[in-house]
Formats: sequence, structure tokens, C-alpha cells
Amino acid sequence: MRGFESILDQKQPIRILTTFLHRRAMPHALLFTGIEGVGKRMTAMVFAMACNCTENITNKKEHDTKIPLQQSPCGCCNTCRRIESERHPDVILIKPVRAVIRIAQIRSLCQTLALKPYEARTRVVIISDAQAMNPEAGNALLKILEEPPAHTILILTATQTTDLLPTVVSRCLHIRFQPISRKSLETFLAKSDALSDEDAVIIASMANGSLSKALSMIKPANLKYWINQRKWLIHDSGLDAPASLSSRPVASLLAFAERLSKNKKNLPDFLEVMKIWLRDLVIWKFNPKLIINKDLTQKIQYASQQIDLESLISKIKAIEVAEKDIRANANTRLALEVMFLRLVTN
Amino acid sequence: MSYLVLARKYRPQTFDEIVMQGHITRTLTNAIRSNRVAHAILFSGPRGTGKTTVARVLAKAMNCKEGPIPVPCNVCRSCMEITTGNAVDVFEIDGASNNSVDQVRELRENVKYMPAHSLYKIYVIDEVHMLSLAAFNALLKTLEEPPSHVMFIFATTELHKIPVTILSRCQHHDFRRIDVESISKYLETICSKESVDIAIESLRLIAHEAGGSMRDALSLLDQVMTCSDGTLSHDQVLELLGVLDRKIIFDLSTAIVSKDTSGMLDMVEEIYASGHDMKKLYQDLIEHFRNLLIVKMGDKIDRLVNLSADEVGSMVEQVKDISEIFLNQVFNILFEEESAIRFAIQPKLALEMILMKVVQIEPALSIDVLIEKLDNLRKEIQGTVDQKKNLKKNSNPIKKKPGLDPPLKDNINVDNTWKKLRNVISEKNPSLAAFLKKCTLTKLTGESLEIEANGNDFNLRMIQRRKNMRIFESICRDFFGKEMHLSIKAKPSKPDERPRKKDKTNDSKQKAIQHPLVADAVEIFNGKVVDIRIL
Repeated sequence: MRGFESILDQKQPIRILTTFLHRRAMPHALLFTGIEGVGKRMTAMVFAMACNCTENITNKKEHDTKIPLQQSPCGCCNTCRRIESERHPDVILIKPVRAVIRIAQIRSLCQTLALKPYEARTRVVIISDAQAMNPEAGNALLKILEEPPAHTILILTATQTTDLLPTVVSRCLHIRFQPISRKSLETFLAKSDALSDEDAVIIASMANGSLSKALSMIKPANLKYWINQRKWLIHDSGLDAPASLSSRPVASLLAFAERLSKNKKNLPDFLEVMKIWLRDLVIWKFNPKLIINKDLTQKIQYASQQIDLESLISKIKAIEVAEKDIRANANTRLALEVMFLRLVTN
Repeated sequence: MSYLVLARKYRPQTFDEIVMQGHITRTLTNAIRSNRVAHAILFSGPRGTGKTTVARVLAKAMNCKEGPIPVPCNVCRSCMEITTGNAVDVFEIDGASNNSVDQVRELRENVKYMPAHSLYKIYVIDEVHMLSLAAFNALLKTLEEPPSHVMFIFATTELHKIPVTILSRCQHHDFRRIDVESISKYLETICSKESVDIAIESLRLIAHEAGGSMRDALSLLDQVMTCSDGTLSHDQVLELLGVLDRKIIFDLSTAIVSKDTSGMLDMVEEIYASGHDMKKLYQDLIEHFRNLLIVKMGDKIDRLVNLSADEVGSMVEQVKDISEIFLNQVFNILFEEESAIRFAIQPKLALEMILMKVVQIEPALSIDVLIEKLDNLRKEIQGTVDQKKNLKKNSNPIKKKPGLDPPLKDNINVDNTWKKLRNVISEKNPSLAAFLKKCTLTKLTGESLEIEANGNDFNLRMIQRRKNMRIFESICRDFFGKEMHLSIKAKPSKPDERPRKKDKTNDSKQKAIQHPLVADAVEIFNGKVVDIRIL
């Protein structure tokens, strides 16, 4: 079953957490930061399991605070399994509802915490994507975050501390999660049968350090999809030869923009793929070993030689502007068309 | 009792223990001594500077068994209750979650009852800035004239969100940020109490990272202490806190100013891989360039740069060969692009691109240098002109009218001349100039102008009107200084292109049919060509 060892990389955070367990000295508020999909929530879950695992809290250990807790949960006792399936009454998970965590959720949390835990030795509250808290919710959390009732730990996960209220950050013990190294991702992906080694390498590089992204890419329905999508995005947008982009018929690019705009769900990822491709072209000029699309080295080399730095940067800027407009609820198709017109002209 | 973090364990219980807020604690103790404590007090200031703590100590001091005294006894029933947080007469209300007008109304209902066993009924409203406007307004009357047994203490980090009507009814105390020195000293005393051995250098680093907030400092110290076994080296502390070593910032900035792009990218990658916050890195970088700029200007370094002497020394070394203007340029770009990195989905990518831009900067010259150069240039030109004049005077005594001939002679300048001429015309006769705008000057010789009218027929006829021609000629005479012959022609119209296009499509269709591939395909599939379309 799951334990700390099932989490890829993240040696440092796990070391800190196991020391807490070992010394039986838990800070009441933890803040996990790191890019999306590096296992922040999973680590929080495992930590909750470790705090409450029945193996850990036999009667003898319960009362003698000198005895260190076992550092990894058994994963098969009743408590562990209930926590893992999110059915434990004392492990509370708060998630954004429609991208926002509202004050009502925090208020009801405060009410729950005012009561004693049902059965757990250590109640754990996990607030995932804490940056989604609106200011009211964040402020409502402050008092309880500073001095929660006994036997309660709050764990917040967020991508960056700068996205949170400074008053929230200052009340938490901050633990940073690193992006998963490409090598660990590769070995992890290579284990799954459906994936050839080559594809594993490509997906590991496209996931960019995020396990959840990699996993969503290798779902059977998605398998090959992302690899093909990348090919399509780079080739049909004309970015594979950015230097000759201006000689391409504008109509075909506008048609491409239309097709892009139809796939609203994946659009941010699509634009990201295009940006990363352009970024590789820039980086190639200076430091070829840092490129992300390693499997396309030859293409990158060819394309990068064709075009100068300044126009590449202006192209990236064009995509960034489009991203911003789309976030600001501009008409997607119009924004994309403008983007392509900007890409064509230098 | 389960484990308590340091910030809670060592929360000050008397006014004396509070660090760096002397101006407030002194005022309050004096007020208590002379029995002049205001009935509504507002504390504001950055996070972790002691607002809630002072509020609690004040509540204790007012309600202590021995009557309001500056130093609460911390042993009587009231003091103990406040310490443990279950006092009957001290209500600590979370303003952020109880922010509606109903909750304030409920509070007003309860205000009129006497305290249970203490002197005062004290309402501490923390995070008071989150009260709704209606709630604030509902509080106004009570706040102005509360019953004699009631005291209000408000605490907030965001003073600007408090309505002025509330502000004017409260005695306002502003908390200062705590300086690095005081924080590190306080951390030292805590370390000795906890019998943990941490180098003073690391404590200073923690204090610096805390940004003037004692709670931040204590959280960081907590983190360091939990992971240590007795002693900790400075490097371990750095790693634990995830603080960017100053050296990394130094190296990165050196790479930027020396335009070592590849090295710079390597460094960014390395910093990213160790899980650092890119936005934080960016802020550190901006701060570093700001410091460099101040060091370069060399004025009041001690006061403006909050760094140790060695660091200032190495900064002086770093900026030795860099111009102030260049630093300013870098600083400007970093500042302008800050929003780009703040809203970026992938901050690393944004950071790389911004740094690329920075590396692309051409160092500009200072305005002084530019003026000096211009001056030199002018002197040089004047020198040569004078020489030429002298030469000319000697060799060619015939004096020409200056300024009139060059446009005639210089055929390359035809367009320019035309523009100038049109400008002159537009001053005297705007309507004629408008017609001429559509014309081009095709030929310009010493005594004639040949003009081609591009617009429609109307254009040409209007220019050729006698009245207009006369004005045109007279202007030309003034402009060129002599009589000019004007000839105005219509532009030869292009033969219609459409038929040719049709021919072309037919031609390519023919070609397609005759193409061997097509012939093969027809044969293989045993079909026939139905339609040919050109894409």
C-alpha cells in the first residue's frame, strides 16, 4: 500500500515530516508549496495516515510520549484505509468549489474544529490549493490557523507562497516540494506497460516535473494523444519554421486558430506547448542541453538557426498576451487570431 | 499538553517582554498608571509584530485582581483565564469569520450586562478590517459611548480598510516592523532557553528572512530546531529554510551583467530544480539590483542597504566595472516585467524570457557623455566646414546662391524635394496640395518638373485648371528660385489583370492533367478526372 516511499523524489520534505513523527512534535500548521502534481496532497494524506495509523497508536505508545512513532503508515489497517479513501471523519479535506474556496467552507470548518475529534488521535485538516481561498476565506482562517484546538493539524497546499495572504504564510511552517526530476519520471513511466521507452522519455519531458500531468497524459485514451497534439501544434501553427512563417498563407493560420479555439479545455496546455517550443528555440542558441523537448533536438537546431533572438522573444510575448486576454474572458477565437497575426509579423 | 510551536510557547505575558514596541508599551503602562486608559484602542501594523499579544497583555493588566496595574500578576484567576484563553470577561472575537452585522448586534445586546467577576468586560476583535461596512456602522454608537465597564481593543494588519468614523473614535497605536538586530537577539535568548545551539550567523539569516515579523522568525526557527540534533551548520540551515544563498544571487547577477547567457540559464535551472519559488527569486534579484545601484551611487550606504559590511564590500567589487546607467536599465526592465512574472502560469519560463531581455540590453551612454560627444562632433564639423570654406574661397571665387541648388542637382533627393515642395504648397493652397498628394514627381531636371497624376481623371483635370497651374508655377518659381517648366501627365493605366489570371489558372489545370502522377493514378484506379481545383 501507500507510504512515504511511494512518493517520487521529495526526500527533503519527507525527511522533515518523519522527524516530526519521530519526535512526536507536530507543528499545528504546515504549508506545502510546489508546482502542480508533485505529490503535495498525497504527502499530506500519508502524513495524516502516519499520525493515526493503528500500528502507531497502540495503548502503550499512546501514553508514553518518549516512544517515537513509526515513520511510515502501515497502509492496511482500518484507519489508514479509511483515510486513503477519504472517508475518515477526522481527516477533513477542503477543496476549491468552482475554483474558489469560500468563507462558508472555512466557517463550517471552524465549527467542526470547535468540537472534539470523533476518534482520531490527531485530527488533520488538509486545505488543498489554498491559493484559491478568496480574501474573506483566508482572513477567516487566520485565528484558527494561529491557535487551533489541541490534537489538530492544518496542512495547506499551494503552488507558491506569494499567492497567499502574508498573514497566512506567517502562521505556517513552510515546506517546499521540488519538481520531480525527469529521470524519476522516466523510470516511473517506463514501469507502466502501455508505454514504450521512447514515449516515456517524451512524456517525461513534456510533463515538466509534474507527476499528475504525466499521468493524465498516459491514460489509455490520451496515450499518443499528447505526442500527436504536440506534433500538430508545432507543425500546423508553422512554428516549426518560424522564420518562414510570414510566407505562409494567413488563411491557413486563421483556420488553425479556429480549430484551436474549439478545444477550450486543453487550450491553456496547447499554448503552453507552443511557448515551450519557442522557448527551446531561444535556449538552444545559448545552452542546448537545457531544452525541454529533447527528442526533437534536430528540428530545434534547424529552426533555431533560421531565426534571430529578438523575433523569437516577440513571438513568445504574442502568445503571452493571448493567454492573458483569454484569462480575462476575451473572445477566444478572436484572441487566437490576433495572436497568429502577431506571430506572422515580426 | 501537546507540543506548542515557539511562537505560542513564548508569547510574551507582560509588557516588558515585548520586543521593539517601546513606544506603545510605554504609553499603555503610563496610561494604566495614571488611570487614563481609553475605552477603544486600535492596534495596527504588519503581521507578527505583537498586536494580539499586546491586546492580551493589556486585557490582563486591566482585569488583574489587584486592579489595573502596569505589570499583571499572571497568577490571579483573571490572568490565568486570559492566558489559557477561556476568560469569561475577555471576548476574543475573530473579526474575519464573525463579520456580519448580526454578530455585531448580538455583541451590542451583551455589552450592557456587567462583567462576571472582573473590573472590565473587554472585547478584543482581531482582524477587524474584515468586518462588513454595515457591521462597522452598527458598532459606531456603542464605540463612541460604551458603558463604563466595557473596553474595546481592535487589531488589524490593514488599517486602510477601517472606516474613518471608526478610526476617529479609537486611540490608535501603530506597530513597527522589528529590525534584524532585535529579532536575532530575541532568537538567541530563546535558543538558550531551549538549549539548542545555532550559530549567530544563521540566526541573523532567519531574522533577515522574517522581514520584520517576529512570528515568521519563530516559525523558521521552529523548523530549523525540529530538524536539528543539537547543532546545525549554516549550510544546513540554508537548505532547510530554502533560502537562496546570497552567493547564488551574487553569481546570477554577475552572469547577467557580464552577459553570460548560458551560465545564467544553468543557474536558473539549478535553482528551479531545488524547488525554489521563482517569484521569490525574482524579488530577491530586484532587491539585489536595487542595492547594487545604491552601492554604486555610494551615498549613505549604511542607512539604505540593510546588509553586513562584507556583503557591501563584495557589492562594491561587483559594481566596479559597471556603469550606473546600465544598472539603472537592468533595474528598470526587471521592474517593468514584474507583472509578467506575477501572472505567469509557468514563472520559470517567464523568468528566463525576462532575463533574456535583460541580457540583450545595450549599455546606454550617460547623457553627459552624449552631450560631450555631440559637442566634439560639432566642433569637428565646424572645423572641416571652415576649412572647406577657406578652400572654396581660394579655388572658386564665384559665389553661388546657397541653399537653392542642391535639391536640383541631387536626383536621389527627388522624393524629398517633392515632399518639401508639397509642404510649401499646402501652406499657400491646401486644396491644390491635396490633389498633388496623389501624384509623384517622376523627373526633376534643372528647368523642368515632370509630374505623374496617380489618382482618377478628376484629379488630373483639377490640377490642370488654369488657376491652379498659375499658383503651382508661381510657387515653383519661389521654391527653386527660377522659372520651371511643368508637365503633368496621367499615369498610364495598367492593362486589366483579370484575363491573364484566368489564363494562368487554365494553364496550371492543364499542367495538372498532364502530370505523370495524375495519369498514373487515373490508370491505376481506372477512373477519370472530374474536376480540377486550385488550392
